[in-house]
Amino acid sequence: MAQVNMSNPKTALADPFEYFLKREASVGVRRYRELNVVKPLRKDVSSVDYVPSAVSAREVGDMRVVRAPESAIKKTSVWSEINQTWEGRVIENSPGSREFVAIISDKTCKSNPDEEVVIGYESVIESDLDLISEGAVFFWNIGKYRKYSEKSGKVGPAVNKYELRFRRLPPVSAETIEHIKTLSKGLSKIIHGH
Amino acid sequence: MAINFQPPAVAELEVSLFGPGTGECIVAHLGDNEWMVVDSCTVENKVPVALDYLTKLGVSADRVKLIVISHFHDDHIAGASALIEACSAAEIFISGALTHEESISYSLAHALGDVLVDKAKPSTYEIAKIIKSIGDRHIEFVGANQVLYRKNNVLVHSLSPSSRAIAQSRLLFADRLLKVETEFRKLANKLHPNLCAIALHICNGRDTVLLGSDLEVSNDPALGWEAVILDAKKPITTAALFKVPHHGSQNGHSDAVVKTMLRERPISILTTYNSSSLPREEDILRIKDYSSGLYFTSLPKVRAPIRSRAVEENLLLVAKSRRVVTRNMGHIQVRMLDGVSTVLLNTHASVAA
Repeated sequence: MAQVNMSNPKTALADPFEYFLKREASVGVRRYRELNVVKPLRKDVSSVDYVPSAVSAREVGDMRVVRAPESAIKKTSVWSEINQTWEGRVIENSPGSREFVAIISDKTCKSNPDEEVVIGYESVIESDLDLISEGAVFFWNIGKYRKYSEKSGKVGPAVNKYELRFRRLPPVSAETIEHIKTLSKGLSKIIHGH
Repeated sequence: MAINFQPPAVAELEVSLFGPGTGECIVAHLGDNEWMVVDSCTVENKVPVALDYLTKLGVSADRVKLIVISHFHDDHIAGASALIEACSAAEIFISGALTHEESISYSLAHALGDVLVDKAKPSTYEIAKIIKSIGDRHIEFVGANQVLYRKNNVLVHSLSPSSRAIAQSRLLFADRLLKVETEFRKLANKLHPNLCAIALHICNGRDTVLLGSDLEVSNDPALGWEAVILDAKKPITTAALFKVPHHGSQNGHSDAVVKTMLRERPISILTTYNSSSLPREEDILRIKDYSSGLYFTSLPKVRAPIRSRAVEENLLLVAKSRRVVTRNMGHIQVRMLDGVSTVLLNTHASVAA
């Protein structure tokens, strides 16, 4: 395989797909996890401006697969069994002492009473730390996790594992907020008479 | 002594305080079989505890003449809309802080109903339901110094929220509403501190009660208990029964209230708030110091459900501490007649040693 000069995009035009893959690996360009198919780069276009875009099924004809779905090749460990699931809500956050108080509701056995727990920040993954605030909702699974070796094709032993992830539900849309504001104005007017 | 389920005498003033550990509701007999309910929490099957209690007394829901929603926190509002629906003859009074467009928008934005799991968290859904019922029911907004009820010698008077507290809350709600549009969806946050809660003064000419709700001190003469103390128009009779504000916490305590608004050594009652471990040891000592008796809705320890060893081990890896949130309803019943008070407790409530 010809060596691609990563620092000079012009030389990379010779093999744009190779360039894209290498550049992704070396400088960590934005990853399109769902993207398996990209449009071939036109020869007269600088690869500096090249950003792969998702394509419709109609356009797929002259395209080639450059990467299989990530889930198929990358995911090498999976839950084999989930023994317990809670849904939790943060009721008190203490960033100073790096812990928060939450009420957890048992989703595995719904007749169980709610429990109140104190959880340290160290049990929350780095990317979720910013989401800890009063009112935040999280999901907590406990179960068995197994690793799968792509190389040998063997499934590893089950290990006990927990996963605590905070909900990332998109904010309420501006349109909905506008509707709410109009409604609220009317209701407030009725109560206050002006 | 167990709760008396015989209805009170015509002239008897009763204050029944309910608390399941995290929750508060007050049912008050104002005289002549007319009742007031302040805030709400629920028993089994989500029945408002006030309705459950009145049914046990053999009192019709029509005898509830006023319902007061003192503020919107989760622990004060569960089942409020069902209570309002059942008590069709009652006037509804809501803290003025909850009736402006900023707060209504905030409640509605947290009660869209499109996330099913969020529906289990009551506060904003209850407020939204109540506010939306306007038209069918008359809703009165409450500020300081309003007479909510007057019949014969009985007067129910609001002491808060002050107009400054209401104005401040509008800004806070507007600020929180902005976040609804920009941040990941969360459940409604509490507003801190509780300066918009409705504290009430009840007097029938012989006996006086002060219900402190969750009103806090502020270090600002225009806010919280400071504003109440400075208000020259407030009622002047001193209370023999004191519902201690904000679960007995230090930030609900005002020396001036104790000195000027309470009789010497009143009976003090409060609801526990287990999520914040209120009241604390020092709070109990402080309240006992000025009271003839301190009663609170406390909870017996309940064993956590047993799960598999692997689950328990992993749970302990994450949770620094853990306890069951019980729903055992503590009940303190105080009946007052011509200066004589009788306090009765159910098995979940207790007296400070």
